[in-house]
Amino acid sequence: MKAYEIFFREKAINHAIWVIFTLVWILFFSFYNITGHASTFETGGNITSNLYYYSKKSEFQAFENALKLDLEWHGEDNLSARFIARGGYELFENNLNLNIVEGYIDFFTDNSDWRIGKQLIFWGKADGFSPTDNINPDNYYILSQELEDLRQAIFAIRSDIYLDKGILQLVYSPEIAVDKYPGLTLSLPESIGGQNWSNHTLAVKYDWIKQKTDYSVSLYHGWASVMNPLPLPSLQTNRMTVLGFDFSTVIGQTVLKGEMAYKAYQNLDANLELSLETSYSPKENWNIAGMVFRKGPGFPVLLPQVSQIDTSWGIGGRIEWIPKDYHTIEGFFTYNFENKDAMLNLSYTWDYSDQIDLKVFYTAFSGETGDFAMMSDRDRIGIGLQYSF
Amino acid sequence: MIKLKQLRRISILMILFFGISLLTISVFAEEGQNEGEEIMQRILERESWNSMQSLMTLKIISKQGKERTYKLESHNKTFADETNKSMMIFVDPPDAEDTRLLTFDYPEQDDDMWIYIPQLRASRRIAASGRGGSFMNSDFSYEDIGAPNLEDYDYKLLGSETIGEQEYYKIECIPVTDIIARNTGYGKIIRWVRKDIEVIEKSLYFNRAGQELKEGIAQEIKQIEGIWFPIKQIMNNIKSGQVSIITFDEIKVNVDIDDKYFSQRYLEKGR
Repeated sequence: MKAYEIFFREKAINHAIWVIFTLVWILFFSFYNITGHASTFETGGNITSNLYYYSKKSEFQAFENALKLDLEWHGEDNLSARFIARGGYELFENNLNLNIVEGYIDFFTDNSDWRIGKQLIFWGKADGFSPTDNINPDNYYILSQELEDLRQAIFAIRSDIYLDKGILQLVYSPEIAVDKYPGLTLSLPESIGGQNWSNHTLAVKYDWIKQKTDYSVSLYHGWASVMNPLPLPSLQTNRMTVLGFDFSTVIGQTVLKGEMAYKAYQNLDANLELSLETSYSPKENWNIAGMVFRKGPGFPVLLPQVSQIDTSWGIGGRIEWIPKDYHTIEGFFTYNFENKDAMLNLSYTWDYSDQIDLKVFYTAFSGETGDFAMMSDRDRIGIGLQYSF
Repeated sequence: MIKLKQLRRISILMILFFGISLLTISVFAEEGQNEGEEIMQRILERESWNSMQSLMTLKIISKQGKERTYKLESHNKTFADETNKSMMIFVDPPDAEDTRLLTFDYPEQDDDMWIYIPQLRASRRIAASGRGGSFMNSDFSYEDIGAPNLEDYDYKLLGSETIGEQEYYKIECIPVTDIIARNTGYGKIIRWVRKDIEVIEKSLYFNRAGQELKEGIAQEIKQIEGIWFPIKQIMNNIKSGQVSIITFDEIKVNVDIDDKYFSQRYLEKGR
């Protein structure tokens, strides 16, 4: 195997990123300290403790204690950097999970922002199902209630160019990553990497901000996680191109958001995914949201001589109620009409103080076929404590 | 993490702290106006600043003595078309840090409002909420913080009162319609206006059943660029025993604020 082929393998690229980032960090930090340029350092993070219990199996799933460190540096001239890392120890499996949440350098010109490094890039305006949000794969290994922990940062170069009428965003990434899902092995096709530039990810998005309504159009040429059940269930990448559109508008006290994504795959049939959401607050301490969607399965399945992706319609809803200051009760459900599978999540959060939050939640899955049906034995109760600093 | 619901009305705070609206002082009373209305008209329609930058602290003290403190940075500017734009950034506590709220308040149309949530790495458009809700679980509501619309209330001068060394006009304000009463949550407000500088220094709020709800007090009233402004505002919730205090730690007015503060770029990137 040639050196550059090894370089672009999943583990090697992470090592390279660590080395490059550390060197650049030291270089700029030292430069600014030696030359006397003013700069500021901000630190923060949190400590979390999460306990999960499988209610149907009557056994504890996990007990994890984690520390997250967030380091941010602002240079005097158009330069800044950020590094967020999370380390968690899970007691029952005796697992130590170390994860770079993000690590990047920002530099700015008059009308553009540039970000290089491991980063999270979230597209789409929907809060529930977001078919245009495809850049960062999921990480189901991490036990956390924070979105940034549940998505994998990728090494990318991102540019936001501020034009008169809107914002143009360009994304390039040489890294190829799949969703991380417990119980499924990961595999990358041999053809990926190396000097094969056509395997890299390119994405472009244009945002219009108008009075009352925001719009975006996007084009993503990257990778999707696809399940290959043979010989053993595993996740593979499959080339995917997505043409997306989304909007968000306010009508009175109601917010309406929608997304549409036409997804074309290398080895699977194309499909169209849709999402439409609305939210409303009938009273100050109530918020109700509803959504209707059309989506494919979480992991399209790659079967010999079968390339069809089954899409189906579904509905979902969310209720948020604040019965008392600093106490929040939330409920979320989603139901798929084709598979007749469903997911329900109930949670209670106590914002105990400026820095301490307590959360208790219950998640249930049901159905005979579909993504949620696969998890029907994983109903769980969780309790989490977080201290932010 | 700050709840989206708690932030919906935040920018209104800044718009209304910042300025009262019109640029001309109304000198002559309209025909049929009573004295109470004349006084309130002079207060609500006086000349204001074109821009304001501030650092403020909101402290909420429960009846049991437990405290919550929020620090916010704000930028506020009125443009030539009378659109008022504001950017509010949460500086503290840690779980709210870098949350930003951008509001465009148009003279004759509904507001545009966006919030940037750091955990989502994205901004969201939100609906501007009604007047009666509370700001950050505090005892201040939208209605309390800002200058009310003159035409929303009927006014009656109840007389004069001397408190300490100061003399005050005592003015009763009653919502003109049931809808306004329902939206604000108030059946009546009594205001104490300092006679020497015509600033509302104390307000007593009643619910629609006529029961006392809250008492608002303006302290450390200073003249900034010709405008009297309370550096500290206290709201005592008579019912719950909670006290909320807003303090302007730093304030600059009529400064040339770069338009960049009122952009999507600043909302999402903080620069």
